This record gives sequence, structure tokens and C-alpha cells, in this order.
Amino acid sequence: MRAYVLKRLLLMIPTFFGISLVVFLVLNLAPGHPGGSQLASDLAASVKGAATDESHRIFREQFGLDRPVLLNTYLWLDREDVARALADMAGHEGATAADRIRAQQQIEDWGRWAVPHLVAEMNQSQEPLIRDVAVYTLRLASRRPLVDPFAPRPTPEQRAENQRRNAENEQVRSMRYALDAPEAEKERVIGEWNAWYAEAKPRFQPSGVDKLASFFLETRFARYWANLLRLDFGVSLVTREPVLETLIGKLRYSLSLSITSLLLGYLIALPIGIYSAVDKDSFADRSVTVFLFMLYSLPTFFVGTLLLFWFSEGSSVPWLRWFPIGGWQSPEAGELTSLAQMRDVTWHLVLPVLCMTYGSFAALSRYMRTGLLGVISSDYVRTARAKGLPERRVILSHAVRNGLLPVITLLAGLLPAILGGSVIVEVIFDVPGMGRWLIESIYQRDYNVIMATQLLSTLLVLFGILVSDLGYALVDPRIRYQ
Amino acid sequence: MRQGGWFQALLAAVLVTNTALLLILVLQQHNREERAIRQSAQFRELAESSDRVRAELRKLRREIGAGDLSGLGAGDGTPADSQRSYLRPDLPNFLQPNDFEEVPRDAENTEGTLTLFFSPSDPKGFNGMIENAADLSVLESYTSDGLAGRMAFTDPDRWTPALAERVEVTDEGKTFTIYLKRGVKWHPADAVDLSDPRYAWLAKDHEVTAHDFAFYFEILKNPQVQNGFMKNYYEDLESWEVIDDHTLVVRWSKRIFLSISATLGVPPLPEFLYAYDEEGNRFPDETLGLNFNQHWYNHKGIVGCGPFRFASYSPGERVVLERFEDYHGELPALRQMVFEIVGDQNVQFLKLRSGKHDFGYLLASAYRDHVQPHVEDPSLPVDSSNPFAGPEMEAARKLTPGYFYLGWNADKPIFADKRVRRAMTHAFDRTRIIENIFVGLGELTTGPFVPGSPYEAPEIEAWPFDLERAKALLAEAGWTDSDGDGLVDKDLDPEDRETERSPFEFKFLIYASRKEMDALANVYKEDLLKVGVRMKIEKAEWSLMQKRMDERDFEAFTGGWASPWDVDLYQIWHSSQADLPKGSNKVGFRNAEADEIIEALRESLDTAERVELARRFHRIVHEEQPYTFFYVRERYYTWWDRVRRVVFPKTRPLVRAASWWVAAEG
Repeated sequence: MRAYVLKRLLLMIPTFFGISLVVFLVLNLAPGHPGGSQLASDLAASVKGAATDESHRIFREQFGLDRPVLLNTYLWLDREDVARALADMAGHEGATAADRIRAQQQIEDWGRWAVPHLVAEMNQSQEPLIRDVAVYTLRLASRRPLVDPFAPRPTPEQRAENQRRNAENEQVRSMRYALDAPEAEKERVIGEWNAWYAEAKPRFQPSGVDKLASFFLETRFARYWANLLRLDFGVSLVTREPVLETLIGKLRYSLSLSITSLLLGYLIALPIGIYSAVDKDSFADRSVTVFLFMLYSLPTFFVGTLLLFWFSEGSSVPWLRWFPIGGWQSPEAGELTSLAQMRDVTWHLVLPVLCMTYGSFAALSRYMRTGLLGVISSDYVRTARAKGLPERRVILSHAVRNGLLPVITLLAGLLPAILGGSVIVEVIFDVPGMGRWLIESIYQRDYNVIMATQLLSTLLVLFGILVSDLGYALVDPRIRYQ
Repeated sequence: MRQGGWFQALLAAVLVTNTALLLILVLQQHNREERAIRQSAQFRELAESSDRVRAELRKLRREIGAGDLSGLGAGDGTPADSQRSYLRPDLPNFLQPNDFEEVPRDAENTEGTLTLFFSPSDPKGFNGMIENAADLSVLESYTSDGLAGRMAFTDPDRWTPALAERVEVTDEGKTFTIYLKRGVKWHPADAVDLSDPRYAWLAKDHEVTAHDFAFYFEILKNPQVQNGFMKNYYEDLESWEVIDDHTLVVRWSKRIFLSISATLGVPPLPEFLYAYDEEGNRFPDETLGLNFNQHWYNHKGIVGCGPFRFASYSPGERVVLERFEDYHGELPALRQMVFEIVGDQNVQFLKLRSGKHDFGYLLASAYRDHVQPHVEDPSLPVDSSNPFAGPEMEAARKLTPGYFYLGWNADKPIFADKRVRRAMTHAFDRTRIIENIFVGLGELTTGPFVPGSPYEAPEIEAWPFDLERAKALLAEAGWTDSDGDGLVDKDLDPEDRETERSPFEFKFLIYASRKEMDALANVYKEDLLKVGVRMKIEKAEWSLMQKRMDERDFEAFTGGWASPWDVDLYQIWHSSQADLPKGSNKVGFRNAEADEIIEALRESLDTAERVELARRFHRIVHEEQPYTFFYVRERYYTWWDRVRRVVFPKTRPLVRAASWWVAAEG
């Protein structure tokens, strides 16, 4: 048994890795990109000034968005690729606006890998416009990121290094000219670039080992995993808050909702299921079934809204104003005793929990009923009856134990749902939990948040499956794992 | 069996006693807490009453004419300090006394709490330097003062003293010399527990000085700081110089109209907070910008120097502001403002209807159900569950600064001809759509200015809905139905013999999440068919739409622009912006005369000249119809009558509750 559990646990590692890979790929290849607020939709933001370019570049650098997703193919970049991108950027041969945007982004992302080629283009290109664009892009491509900028107490060496890099970035930033600048001025700036490159050249000629390492490690995925191994889920791309901290903060809302609803669901549905099985096909059984399926078919968003409009304090019927209008607690909760606070939160929970629970009755009670019916006609139950045990005991202590099997599997499958929270219920009742957070993060393409929540639920699914398998063994003595 | 029975009974007894003990414990705890809460309430009352005494004294001082009662509180309304020497005493003060009583002096209750809807989602952070969000700017309008303020209620083109008491404008409008008020205090950074020894370094009083403005500019210009949206405004900012703690000189390299608001609107940035990490160590200069982006206080709150201080924030629930009793100006007549974060529109509606929110606005659908019938028929009996039509609630309709439009991509052959674009306008039944789809909550517009503003050319009338004229214009542009299939057609490239006449078909890109847009597009589609044009509706989610616009991958679309108070047409209408990838001139509007006007408008500081230029521009776009200008949205604001003296500024944000007061209960 122990060997089996160990084997299963070890198997989880590659599975987890595989799932994380898939989620990561889907996320990073989906259209749209994070950091929209930095460039998009606002009037002023849509004009891209030089200063804005650099800020955006630093943003992409910080979150590794400039790197390839899985494997670093920038190593094999040749001059032709760079020349083509430059031509696109300069607007040659019917390059569309889309091509120009893409080319500029591409050169920025190539970064240091493109520098030698950009320098070559700058010096050798026959066309003045290509040369000018090469100079313009060199400014960003040659930028050097700082070493561990968020270290709380940087060492003197580290500070010296960062100061040096900062100075170099500043120097590089100033090495540009306006398109309509006089030729002499352009010559001077190009001279500066050549002088800079002569000195910095070794940096742009990596050794074979460096290249191999870069191929696998200088990618978004490797970067993510490197952090993950240190249990670092990163900071949100939107708010810059540590993801794990926020996640733990959100958990209490979603957990209270889902655990209460789960318990309530089981507490109510199981007895119904047992009753239905015992009184199989009676009128009561059938009407309960019909009723439960009616509930099941009512969509949550609809019922939620109705509940709010009828039974909340905003209800148009004065004597139905029982519950608060969504939210988690009253504004004055901070001034209540713990007992009163508990009451306050419970009061707020009633409607959302109701809304989350009613749909599960049908499935749960059906599973219980079927499970119980399966065993109720078996030999050992007949034996128990024959022994003269009262019917109550036969059902409750002999049959139900076996009938619970399918319900247990179900429980394990519900684990991730417990954590993920219900998006719809949280949105309707304005509960600041995980569900609402996830949805907002998806809209904003907040990769780190989405990854963290998805990985957490992956982990829960994996454990859930394991637990349910082990649960089988506990309940059913016939099942043994080797 | 018997022994087992004993055991079980024992177990049950123990359990029962334990539960009982637990219950007693809980109850005792409950009583203790209750006592503590009562005491803290008494304590707070005491503190509040001492605040009230202070406020009374302040009022008294104001009444006896600013006689010196120093030591009783911060100076407000202090006359410009007589010992102060100015660099250019000969120049008039650029700032003028406010001609509007922004703080009500006759409020019967100055201790009220105002609760209102804030935003559907959590603010992304509270650092206005890096967050470009409307919800945050609302909070900042209460917590932060700029150097000067617009006279938002009367004439927003004029500026009145805020943190600066005097401004000298020299060098043809390129240099601003600013004299700061003395003794202005920063709010305490008490979103963290300042009594904790960890934050001892932060728990001091700080004064707002010229260095805090210099710090603002430094951070603003730092390339590491993620504020692209602001850097653009300050590209021509040349230098800033701190003369002494209360004097600052700001120089611009060019004369631009926007430099006035970009200089005077600047709020100081508290260096004592943002230059330090949580342990009180100063960030190294070389990484200051990166660390500023994720500063530890960014999500805790705002430290400003405005009339309200940031009191608390509960994610997903609310932000609470409280009056800052040491404020340097006149104290507002509200003690507290509660900004509620409500994600769901139904909840938002119910909170307003139940009176949980004092102030809010109705969405179009709620307006249609609850208010419109009573507007159309005042004799209709009012249902007691509908306070929106009853006497307890008041309302005002306000135009929001900004406009919606249909954009025609002039770089595509079919929309290159202005006659075609005008035909499109004639076929778009704007009045009916505003009336029916937007339930009348909007006003038709003919140009990029707010209707009724002086910048509009007065003689321009909207192109009417007229299908015949649309047809005629299309025919004039060569679009006729030659094959009798009901669609007009034209040979778009007559030079090339190969091409044939192609029917008039285009794709109309709309924003998928607004169902009104869907309805509108369908109405339009049918009207267009009547003039022989087939329109296909394409829906896109916001980020995709944004991408398609950036790449100019569209023929026509619906869009909207928010209008800032200062008219600057450069980004949307200048031809240079049409060739820039991601530029805002997405429709490819290129007009030499318009370019000239726009450039002149950027530099002119003279209001009369600016108005004339804007009107000339309005005439051009009316003729050219690069957009079919559509409508300006109206908000139906409504509030419970306990909220008093509700006044609206002319600028954005439209809601400035600091000038209101709330009647005491009962």
C-alpha cells in the first residue's frame, strides 16, 4: 500500500509538469497581451513616444515577455531576418500597419541577439531610411537589464554593477537623432554607436555553452519554472502584488462559500437519496425526483438574480427584505463582537450558498439512490434481513456503507471546484473571492495570476483522484492496491 | 455491552460539559468585546467632539477675519505672506481667487457620511503615477491637491490657488515660477499600523515642500517607471528647479497650451514614503524606478494632502475616506465618504433603491423601467417600491464629457470619398437610435466638442437622416445599381481594365460586450440596405478590437473618445498620427488645413483665438465626415434627498461630492 501511494505521488510530478506546460502554452499563445493599460485605449497613451517605448520595454523585460515561450530560437537569428524586419518597420514594399507593429515588437524582443546584425545594417545598408531605423532600434535592443533590482539589501558590488549598467543605458538612450536631422549629426551618432560596439562586442558573442543554456533556459517557460521551484508565483502583471498573498487572501471567501454549500448539499441530498432508494418508484420518490431535476435545470445566474430581487434588503416587497444585498459583511462589521461578526457573515452567506447548493441535490441524491439500489438487492443485505435485524439497521449500517462508494468518488472530483469558487455566484452576489478574481485576471491577461490558480487546481485534482482511489480501498475491503 | 454503555454515558457527559463550558466561554468573550467596543465608541466620540471644537475655532477665526490664532490648527485662507519676496513682483498672479463657494458654509450638519457606488472592480493600485484609471482619479480628486485647481464649477479655463499661492508665468508661457503655501501637512501613512516599531521611521509629521514636486517630476521622467500614459504629456518639459523649500521653477522647451494644466495640475509625490522600502531604507538611485513600480504602499492606500485622507480599503468591498482635520484649506462639510465596489449591476441598482447608497446613477434599462414612464406621463401614480419616481429622491441629467462615433477608414478605397462618408451619415438615423436604444439618455453631436461648448461652430446643424440624399450622394460618387441586384456598385479601379464593378459591401466592427451596439448596428444595417449598401456586422472583444484598430485592419467601427477639458486635437486628427502604427488617427484623416489649425491650437494660449480655431476645425470635419459623429452620453444621476446642495462641476469627474453635505438622520 505504501509503495503504491509513493508510486502515485511520484507519477504526479511529470503529470503536473505536463499540465503546467499545456496551460502555459495555451495562455501565452492566446491573442491579447498583458500590460495593455500601459499602452492601450487612452488618448495620450496611443502616441508612442521614445520615453514610452523604453518603459514598455522594461515592463516586458521584467516579466520575461520579450523571451520566446518554450525554446529560444533567437540564437540562429541572421542578418537577413533582421534586415527584413527593419525594412518592414521602415514601411517598405507595401508593409501594412500590422507588419510594422509586428516588426518593431520583434526587433525589441530579439534584443541583444539582434545587436550585431543591427550594427552591421547600420554600417552597410545602402538605404538611409533603413540605417536610421537601425539606429533607432539599437537604442532599445542594446539596453541592459539590471541585476536583481528588487534585492532588499544590494551588496556594494551589485550596486556598482547596476550603476554601471544604468550609466550605459543612459548613454545608449542619448545616441539617437531625429529623422530630419542633418547628415553630419547622423554621422556623429553612428560613430558613437560604432565606438560603443567596439567595446561591448564580446558581450554579443556568446560561447557554445552559453548558447546551449540560452536555448533551453532563456525562455518564458523556463523562467516560470525556475521561480516555481522556489515556490515563487511571481507578482501580478496588473497590480504588482505578490500572487500567492492575494490568493491566500481570497481563499477564505471562496472556501467558506463552497465548503458550506458542499456540506449542506450532502446533508440534504444523501437522506433524500436513501429515502428514494428505500421507497423506490413510489409516488414520493417520483415527485421528489421531478422536483430536484426542476431545480437542477434552473440556471444559477437566473435564480441568483431572482433571490436578490425578492429576498434582499433591496426587495420591492417590504416584508421580504430579509437578507443583505450581496457582499461579504456589513460596513460596520469592524465594530462588532466576534459572535456578531459571525452572525453577520452567515447572514450574508445565506443567499449565495443557497444558490450554489440547490443544483447539486439532483445529482447527489441520484448517485446515492443508484448506489444504494445496487446493494439493497445483494445477498448480504438479504442475510442481514434474514437475521431478523430491523429494517432501519439493515439499510443504515449495512447497505448505506457500500452504497456510499460512488458518492465518495464524486467528492474527490469536487475538490478543485471548492477552491476555484463559483464564478457566477461570486459575481452575482459580489463576493470578493477567487472566481471573480480569476475572471478579471483573464480579461486583463494577467498570466501569473491565471497560472497560479490553474496550477493550484491541477494539484487539487491530482490529489483528489488519489484520495478517492484510497477512499475506495477504505470503504470497500475487496479493493486492494499493490 | 453494559461496560460499553457506561463508557458511552461517560463520554456523552464529558461532551455535554465541554460544550457547555465552551458556550459560556464564548458568551463571556462576547460580553468582553461588547464592553471594549462601547469604550472605543466613547473614546471616538470624545476625539470627534474635540475635532468639532477645533473646527468651530477655525470657523470663528475665519469670521473674525483671519486674526492670528496660530497654534489652533493649520492655516486656511491665510493671506499671502507679507514677508515673502517674489522674483517678479511686477507680474500679476496667474492664479485668481475662486468665485465659487466650493465648501458649503451654511451646512446644517458637518458630520455626515456619504455612501456611493465607486467601481465595478478593485482599483489596480492606489499610486496615481503608474495607474491610469478613472476610478483612482476619482479618489485622488478628494485625497490630493494640485498646485492649483481649475474653477471647475464656473470657468474651468481659469485656475485658483491650491498648494501654490502664487504663480508667475514668464518667457512667453514657457516658464512657471511657483510659490507654495507654507505649513501644508501630508496625511499620515496610516494604512499601516504606525504604532508598530517597524514603521517608526514613517510615523512623523511631514510638510509638503517643493522637493516633493521635484520628486514627482524625477519619477515621472525616470524611464524605469511604468507610466507611458503620462510621459507623453511631459516630453517637452525641460527642467525643474527647487529654489527653496517653498519656491519652484518649471521650464518647458516649447510653448504649448497643455503645459499649463500639465504644470499646475501636478500633485506632489511624498518623497518620505515612495523613496523608501518597507524597512525605511532608501532605494538605490539606479533601481528606484523599478522599485517604485511595485512599491509596498501602492496597494495600501494614498498619502496625499487633500481635504480627505484615505482611511481604509477592503478589497472587493469598499474604500473609505475621512475628512483630514489638518487640511490646509477650508474643511468640507462631510466627515466620511464610503466608496463601494460593486461588481454586479443588479446589486448596484438594489443598493441605490434600498437607500444603502446615498447617490448613484441609473443605467439605461433601469431608467427605462423606473423613471421614463413617469417623465412621459407625470400623472402616473407612483408605486411605493419605486423611490426613483417618488419625492424622496432627486435627480439630474448630465452630459458626460466625451462622444461616440462611427469611424470610416479613409485608407480603404470605398471610404476614401467624402461624399460616401456623408451618405453613410445620412443613412444613420441617429435621433431615433438615441431615443429608442439609448432611451433618450444622450444628445446628438456634430463634432468632437461637448454640445453647447463655445468651441462648437454655432451655425452647424447635424446632417439629417435622409435616405434619398444618401442615395444621391452615392450616385454622385459613382455608386449606382448597374445590375439590378439591389446593391449599388462601382468599378473601384477604373485604370485597370481587368477589374469589374464591385457591389458596396463592408464590414462593421463593433464591441461585443455592449448589447446596445448590437441593436444599433442592426437598425443601421437595414437602413443601409435601403440605399443599396450591404453591411456585415463583426463583433470583437476589447483586446482584439484594440489590436485590429492598431493594425488598421478594419473598414468601419464604432468607437468613443473621452474629452478632457483642454481641447487638443493633435493626437486624433493630425495627419502625422495617421501614419504612425498604433496612432490615434485610425481613420486616416489627412487634411492640410486641419493640420495647420491643430498646430496653431496647440500653441495658442489666447482663449478667443482658440475658440475661433476650434470652430474652423469643426467646420472642416463636418464637411469631411471622417467620423459620423454620433452622440454624447447622458448620465441620469439620482440621490436620496438627505444629500444636500448637490452641485456638478463642468469638468471630469462629474461627481465632486466634497461640495455637498448630508443631513443628519432623524
